Order: sequence, then structure tokens, then C-alpha cells
Amino acid sequence: MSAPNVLQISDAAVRPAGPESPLVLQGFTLSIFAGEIVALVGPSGAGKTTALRAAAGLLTLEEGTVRAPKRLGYLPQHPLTAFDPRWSVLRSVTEPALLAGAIKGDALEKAKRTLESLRLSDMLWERRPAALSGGQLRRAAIARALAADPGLILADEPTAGLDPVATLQLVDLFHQLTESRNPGVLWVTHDLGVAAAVAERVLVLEGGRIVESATMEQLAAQPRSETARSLLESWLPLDVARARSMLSGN
Amino acid sequence: MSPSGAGSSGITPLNALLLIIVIGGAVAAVFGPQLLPSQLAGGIEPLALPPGAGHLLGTDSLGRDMLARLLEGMRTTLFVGLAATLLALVIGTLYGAAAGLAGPRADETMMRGVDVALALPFMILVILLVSLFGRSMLLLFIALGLVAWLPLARVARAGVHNLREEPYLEAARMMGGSRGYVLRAHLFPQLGAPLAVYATWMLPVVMMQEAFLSFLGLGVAPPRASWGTLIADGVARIETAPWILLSAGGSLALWLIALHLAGERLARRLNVHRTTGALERTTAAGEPDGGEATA
Amino acid sequence: MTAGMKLTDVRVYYSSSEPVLDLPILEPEPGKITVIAGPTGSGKSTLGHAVAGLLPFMGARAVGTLHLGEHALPLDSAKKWRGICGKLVRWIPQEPARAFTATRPLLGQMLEGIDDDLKVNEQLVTLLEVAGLPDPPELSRSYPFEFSGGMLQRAALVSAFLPDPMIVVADEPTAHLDPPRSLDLARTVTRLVRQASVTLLWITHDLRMASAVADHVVFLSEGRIEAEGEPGLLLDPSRYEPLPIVYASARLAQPL
Repeated sequence: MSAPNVLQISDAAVRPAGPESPLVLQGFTLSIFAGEIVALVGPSGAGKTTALRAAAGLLTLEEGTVRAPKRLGYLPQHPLTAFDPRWSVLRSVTEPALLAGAIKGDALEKAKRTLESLRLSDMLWERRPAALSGGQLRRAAIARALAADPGLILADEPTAGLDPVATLQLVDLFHQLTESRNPGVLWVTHDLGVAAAVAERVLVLEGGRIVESATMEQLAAQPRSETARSLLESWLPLDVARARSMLSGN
Repeated sequence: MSPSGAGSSGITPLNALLLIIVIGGAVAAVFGPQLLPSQLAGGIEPLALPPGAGHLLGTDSLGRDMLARLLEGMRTTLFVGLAATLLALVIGTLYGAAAGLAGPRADETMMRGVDVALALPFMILVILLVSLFGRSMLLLFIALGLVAWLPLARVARAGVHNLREEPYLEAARMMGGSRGYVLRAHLFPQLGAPLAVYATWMLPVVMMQEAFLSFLGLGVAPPRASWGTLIADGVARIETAPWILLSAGGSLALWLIALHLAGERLARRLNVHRTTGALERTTAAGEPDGGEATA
Repeated sequence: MTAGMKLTDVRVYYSSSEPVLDLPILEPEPGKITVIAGPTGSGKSTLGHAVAGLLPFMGARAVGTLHLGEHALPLDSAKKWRGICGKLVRWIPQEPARAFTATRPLLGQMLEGIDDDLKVNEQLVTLLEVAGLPDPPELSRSYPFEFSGGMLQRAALVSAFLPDPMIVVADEPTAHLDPPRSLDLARTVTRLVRQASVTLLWITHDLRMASAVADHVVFLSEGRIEAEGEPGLLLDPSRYEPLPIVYASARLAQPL
């Protein structure tokens, strides 16, 4: 029954800033199965982005191994700057499939179909990123992450800075489109609400390693790590009475 | 919502005029001498004739048609300028890109070397080379090219260094692109614009340098004409045959100004800062990163 | 200083003929925190800019007046605001901890641009205490790098409450901050507001933060006030017909 795991990081240790710099990840082990959506949470600077880059194979590991598929989807934090400004949107969305070795015709077809499923008008396909609105660019970024049908998607806080309506829309859209394709997803965020809405399983990053792995319900009920506790303690609920009392320090 | 400041599409009258001057001059320089060979006028006494019958711009001190001489001089200066600029482009781009991509220590060393070389007085070097190897067009453009590549390397290095940090390069890597692919497909194509602009700035400068050297007598040797030698001739005869200096100096000034202005307009249209080569980012109209996911 | 503030007949236009903000009247309660909430593009930032007198500098066309104590300030004229901007109305930027440069001592930077020495001295000690920061002599000889990010944040917040403004505008102050830092900011701001008795406008789309700090809530949508009232009422999805932003916030807060 065990689905194959699409991402396996074992005991990784990484110094991303160069040989003399501190270890950001240490004893880091993580595995994601096909079709599983996993959120990676931790405070700023804990190494979440480093974990993503390690999963993408961009970092030399001091220790440990990374096994990841060749076909990766990437969902960036700031869509505008994550697209080559001189390339048309269509060309950018076609890029991942071409990188994975698809023939041009196939890659183009897949890109167009994905853009359609994201309801991005074909009038925008030949435009450059600067010509699209923020919302359109986010959809284009999702299209680019999904068009090549990757086995694994790496998402770097794609909802950071978005208001709740836009956040929910992005999350719902993401779920809709990944339903049929079934990729493994590693979604980095420091917002527990987003983590809960997006993922089935939450991993807590602390001291360079995963210290806790649970569903959000389990985590909220019984946090085991210092980081999880701190995140939960600073989580203001949507409830005036409780939020106010948390503010005054009860 | 198209980016603002990218320059109007279409050609304004001034731009058209500039293009005519620049391209027309270049074409005339390349093909002119074939059509208008500058022979000596007949007769025993070589005369400097004023503009008039048969000679649109008069003749030079040896009786040769001024217009023909001009075209030949332009051709020499232009060829030397182009050759030197091309040489500078090739060497400068390779060196600068390598430095920009290298680690901090190599980068530092390479660019300090450029700084030191830039501090050397180039005139003295050229004089040295000429005195060693004699005057020739080949020597001229190599010497000028070897000087011109230095600032170009800076532009190339700055371009690469700035582009290195761009998030879309990282995004391409995250999606599985190798380092080589990302450089080829995303980074290097962007260097085209700043380098092209810098080259159009450099060309008139190099041409002026050639003209100056030839004026001093360090450049091409007669009977080869260069704009510089014609001007030298004109200066010598300024009281008796002012039209020589007027036509030679005037045409040089006009053409170089046109070239310079055309380069400036090109820079603005390509959104490149004129002398630093920095790519200026046009901002997306209005919107910061917010926005609904459906819209 | 506590004083009344009122915005009347406000309409702000940028490039189109549709106003980005259209407010017949807005009268926040003096000495309290009024949250201006809404999705991106609802005009809430424009409202903040209007109150701070920044509209003429942003290429906006505006009509309307800000009544501040006994001043009546038209939104389209920069001149009448001279002496008001930066004195009676102060601004809290995003990521406040980044307001300081490493090259000068902290206190000098906190007091930059404020020349009312007398008033400053009175308040400074109290506000620093409320914010949990060291006393002025120590701050005047210490450099930013000697403090944690959290303390720098609180220092930046304190300077927004000097010297005795009537209004403080906070434009999405917790954006890009992680939860512990956000919470600290909220705590510090609420304490400072009570101590200095200013009227604070808190602009945000984070309704959970609004739940914690708001004395009054104003919902903006497409430039207009969609709802206004008590936080307990408006921010409770089960009691109040949900606005999209309330619904979305509730969905995102569910499991916790």
C-alpha cells in the first residue's frame, strides 16, 4: 500500500552560506509521498528556505542524502520577480516541461491547457510579466509549477503578504488543480492558519531538524516542541475575547 | 498595463534624421571611395582649389577632390573604430563576465587589474608601440582595442554581477535548470542591451582617438587618409584654404554628434543607463504584490 | 494628546474616473484604536495616506477635509499641512525595526526631526518605560546593533508617539513579521496608545490581529465603508453576516 515517496532527505547537514558559515540544517530528515501535501513551519530564519533549496538539489550537503525527482515544480513568494522579465508568460510556463526533456510541441500544449484551467485569458499569454496584475501573475506562477506534471512541488511562502480572501483563493485553486495530478507538495510557511488550510501534515523545523510531525489538530492539542508551542502561543484567534486576553498576556 | 518609460514606438523626425546621418554616412564611407576615387588633379602645380566647378567641397593641398578624400578618411576612421570596438567587445565581455561570475576573491583581483590598467596613460603606450612597430592601420586598431576593452569589462562585470542575484535565476534553478542552462538562457541574453549601448557610446570615442592620433601623425601613413590627417592638413592651411578644415572638421563633428545622440536614444529605448550600463527595471504599472488570485 | 478627528466628504482619484476611496464621513473615537480593515485594493492604505497628509505627493486628486482638533485640513493642499504632518499626525511604517541605521546611536535616531525638546523630555521617560526599553541616557550612547530586533521594533514604535501627536497611523505594521514579533508589536502599541492617549488608526487585513487590538472596526471594500462597529460583532462570523474577508479569515483560522 505504501505509495512511493517522491522526496526523501536523510540526515542532511548543510552550510548554505559557504564553508566557514554555520550549519543551518543538521540531522534533517524528511520524506514526502506522492499525493501528500506537507507544510513546513518554523519562525523566520529557521532554515525553511534552505530546506527547499536542499530538496531542489541546489546545495552541496556536508552530510546526508537527498533523493528528489528530476521534475520539480516551484511556487515562489514573489511572482513578479520570479519570472524572466524578457520572456512571455507562455514561454515561462513552458520552461519546466522543456527542462524535463519534453518535446517542444507537447510542452507547449501542456502549458496552454494549464493556463486555461487557471482561467488566464489567452490574450495575456504572449505578454511579459510586467503587463500582468499581481493576481494574474500568481495564477501564472501556479500554472508554471503544474504544467509539467511534476512529481514534487516546492512552495516558498506563496501566500506571504496576501489578504485572507486572496490567500484562501490561492489555496483553494491550488487544491483544485493538484487533485487530479497528485504531486507531493512541500509548502513552507510561518502562518499556522495557511499550513492548516493547505496541508494534511505539518512538520516543525527547530535547531536545523524536524522535531515534530503531526496533523494541525494534533499539533494544536499537544505541541511537543518549543517552536510549536511558541507559534501556537503567538497565534491570535479570530475571537475578540480570547485575542484580547492573549494580548494582555494571560 | 504596459511599462511606462520604455520609449515611444515609431520614429520621430529627429530620430529619423539621426539615423539618416549615421547610416548614410557609414554607407557613403564604405562605398564612396570606390565611386569617387581621389586622383590628383592634372597639372604641374598642385593647387588647393575652393569649392566650385567639379569639386563640391574644393580640393586639398595636393589637388585631390575634397569630397573623395573625406569619404576615404571617414572610411579609415570608421573601420579602425569598428575593428577596435569589436575587439574591445570580445575581450571585455569575456573577461568581465568571468569576473562577475567568479567568487569574490577572483572577482576582486581581476577588476583591480583593470583599474590599474586604466590608470596607465594610454597615449604614451601608443606612442611607444608606434615607435616600435611603425605606423599601420592594424597596429592602430589593436592598440585602441586593447585600451577600450577595459571599461567595457567593467560594464560586463557589473551587468553579470547585478543579474546574478535576480530571483528568476534562482527560480529556474529550483525548477531543475543546470547552472549552465540558467546562464545561457536567462542571464547572458540580458547582457546584450547594456553592451550594445556601451558600444555605441564607445565607437565615437575610439574614432576620435584614431583621428587624434592620425592628426598627431602617429596614425595612418599617407597616402592613406584618415579624418585626422585631413584635419591636420586643414589646420596647416587654415588661412589659405579654410574649406579643407571646414569640411573635414565639420563632417567629423556632425557625424560623431549624430552617432552619440543616436546611441543615447537607443539607451533610453532599451532602458539601459548610458555610461554605467546598468539595466533599469521598469516597474509593473501600479500594483505591488497583492491582488486576488482570481481577477 | 487626545483630540477629535474627523474625515468628511473624502473622494480620492488616481488615474481612473472611479474613486479609490469614497468616504462621506469617518469619525474615529478619540484615544482609541480604530482598525481599518479590508482586502488589498479596498482603499485602506489610501485612507492612511489621506490622514497623514501624503496625498498631494502621491499623484492623487483628492477632495475632502481632515478635521483635527481645531484645524481643518483640505486633503489636496500640501501647504496647509505644514507643521501638522509629522507633529500632530505620526506614522508607523512596516517592519519598524528596520527604521534605524547602524552608524548612529539609537536615541538620536529616534528623536530625528522632532524639535520640541520640552515636550519630548516629559514623555520620553514614561513611554520608554511602558515599552520596556532602557532609559534615555543609555539609549543615547548605545548603537542599534547592541539591541535585539524586538527592542529596535519597540524603539521605532516609541518614536511614533513623540512628541505628543493627536493621531498615529499604522499601515499594516505586522506585515512580514512572524507571529511572536507581531504579538510583541501589538502589545507595545496598545500600551503606548493608552499611555499617550492618542487616536490610532490601524490599517490591516489581518482580522485576528484586529480582534486583539480594535476598539472599533471599519470595513472597507472598493473604496467604500461596507460595515462599521464593534469588533465583537463584526469579527464574529457566527453572529454577523460574513463579509468575504471575515469568511476567509474564519476558514483560515479553523483548526486552531
